Amino acid sequence: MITKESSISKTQLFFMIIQSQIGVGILSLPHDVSLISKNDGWISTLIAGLIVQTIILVLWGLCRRFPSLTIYEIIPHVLGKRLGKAINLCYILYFVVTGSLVLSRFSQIIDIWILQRTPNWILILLMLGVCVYLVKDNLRSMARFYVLVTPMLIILFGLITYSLKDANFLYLLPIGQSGISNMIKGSKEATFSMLGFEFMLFLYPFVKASNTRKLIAISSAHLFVTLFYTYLVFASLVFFETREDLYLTPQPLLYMIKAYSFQIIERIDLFFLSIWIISVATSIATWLFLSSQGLKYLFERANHAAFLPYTAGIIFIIALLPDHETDLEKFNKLMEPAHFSFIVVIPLCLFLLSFFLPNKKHGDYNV
Amino acid sequence: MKIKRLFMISICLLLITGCWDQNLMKDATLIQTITFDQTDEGEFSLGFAIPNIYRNPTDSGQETEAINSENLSTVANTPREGRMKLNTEIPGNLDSSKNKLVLFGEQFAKGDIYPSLDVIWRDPRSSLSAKLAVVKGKAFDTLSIQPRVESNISQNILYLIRSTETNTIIPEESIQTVASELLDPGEDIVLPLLKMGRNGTTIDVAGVALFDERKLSGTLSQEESTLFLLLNNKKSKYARFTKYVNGNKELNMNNFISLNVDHIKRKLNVSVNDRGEVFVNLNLHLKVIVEEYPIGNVPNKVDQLNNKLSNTFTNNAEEVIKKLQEANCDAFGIGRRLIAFHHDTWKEQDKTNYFKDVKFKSKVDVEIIQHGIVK
Repeated sequence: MITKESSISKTQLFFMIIQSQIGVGILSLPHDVSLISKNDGWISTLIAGLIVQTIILVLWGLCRRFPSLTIYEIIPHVLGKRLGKAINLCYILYFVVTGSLVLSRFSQIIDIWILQRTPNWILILLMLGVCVYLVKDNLRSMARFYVLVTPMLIILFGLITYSLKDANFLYLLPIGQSGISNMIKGSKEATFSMLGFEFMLFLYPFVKASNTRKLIAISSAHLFVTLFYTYLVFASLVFFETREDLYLTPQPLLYMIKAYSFQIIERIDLFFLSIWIISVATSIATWLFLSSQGLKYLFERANHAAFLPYTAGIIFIIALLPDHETDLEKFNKLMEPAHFSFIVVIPLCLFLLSFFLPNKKHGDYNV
Repeated sequence: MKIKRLFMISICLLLITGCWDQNLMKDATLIQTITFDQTDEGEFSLGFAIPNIYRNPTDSGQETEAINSENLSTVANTPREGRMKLNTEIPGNLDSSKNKLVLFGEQFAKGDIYPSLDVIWRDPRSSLSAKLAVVKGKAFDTLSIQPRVESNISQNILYLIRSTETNTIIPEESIQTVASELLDPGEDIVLPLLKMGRNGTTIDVAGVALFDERKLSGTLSQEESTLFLLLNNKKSKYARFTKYVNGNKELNMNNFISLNVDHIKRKLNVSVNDRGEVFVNLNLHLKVIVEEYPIGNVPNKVDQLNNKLSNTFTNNAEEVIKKLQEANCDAFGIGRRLIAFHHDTWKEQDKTNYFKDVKFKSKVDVEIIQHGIVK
């Protein structure tokens, strides 16, 4: 089943998780979090990191019981063929819709920040084109691209750090003013921008490493993302007056670097966005890949590439549907229970159910 | 095969250039300065300076290109409406993405400056690094000055602002940096204050304009503003003073000393007592370099000079703080410190007038550390 071309190393796993997690939410994250938890937004982000880490542990527990199976094989195995296929279909739909939502949010941000007169469908089409090209071959080529583009995050980090020269660190104080309950409520927003780690459900059998090492790779990727997000939230909290200015700025990270111009480059927010687009592309590619892989298992074919035109087509159409900000927000709200059930509830049930199965190892994958 | 691929690539390249969003320079008329004024009838008036390139025949028959500026103004309800009105008066599209200056007229700034800046914050193409300044009198009138050096008025004012920033006369601010300070209840902004000098033939930096939340409420002179910026721990490259130190020397020039501040150490301590009164301890230590002392022999009188200067500066600092309090301009961000460190006290404070009741205790220590290459 697992050919040499499709297996990846644990380092590649690390980078793939990072790139799937960092995506479209990064720009609005500080704003969304601070709406609720005010100047304690950075604590909320850390709490969100903890929550996600717990979910990762659950997912890992599930994967560990079936080390050679992907999520699309685990489900029929545990629940039986009929029900399994139905749930698999739901997963495929979920991945397709999540991909569309991300794509839609991407095109909206590009629309208001850079290309105001370019029709949205062009942006969506170009992005999808890149993503289809990225996932049409095997997993390994995809992994290589994810590794290759990760160092670009250093530039984002650098630009944000530069803007801290005008920061007022007093905005962060007093710590804990917003109260524990608000901090936890605020962490909900941050949790959604960390989505993408569920990729591990599929990647797990393709990684050549022991179970513990896989967990370490995934957790450290997640730790990296959490710290990176916390830093970004922290930076925008000290740059903007939290209660009013940050409240008025939906994409604070872009705004804070928009004001600076260097000797040669003006409008560095455009520069920032171009790097951000790569991170978005890798996230969308992840969901596109997951959904077409799902179809491959559903129809029991050898290759997922044949399904790419269909999944990409559906994603394209759904992404076009929301045409203004309030639509997107509703869409976003609508997806929240879906995220919860597909990433937490179903894997948890599977994990618990798996204990009732006869305990035989399914072709343990040894290096 | 190769040709086919090449063909595909060139088609892709043609398609992804983004033809919808091109803004051609040949169609644009760049705005260099925006002015906001209030007319005598109380209406809002918007002014623009756009560059005007003209040819200058020289004696030798060659032509050189020079830039001065063309000024337009109109009465409108909002800045954007004003821009639409002016757009019909000039060829090309007005484009504010390279705007470098926003000037407020004195009368306008006494109202609320925040709403006029909204359009600049909202438009993704606008330039947030533009400098802000307040002008004594009408801002639009300063644009019609024809300076001899640097004939383009916008460039002229911009260079003036930049050089005075390095001399610690005015604070380094841009539209972006004032946003948070304007919205912060615990901090107020100060902006450069310009005036017309020499019977309206030059532009001069008069000092800084003090704001109470969003309204102009007072001013500081040039020398006061330098000391104020030092008290606020915002020293730029140079900070120079000339002070009267010797009593009644026959030649007036011998009575003075000129200093450049080499580096500063500022301590700002906010404390609160049981009754909710706020006390601020403001200590400033200046290490200075003597740049000019005509009477000579600095090392001989160094203690005496240090004392004398410390006294003078402490008195001046008290005056500056008094003026800030009269203007209710919390430029030190005392309120922000209260929010951060004494949150309960802040909750009980009068959010608009708290700064007037703050009890300041300020002290400036001057220490001469260098005296140039002669004694």
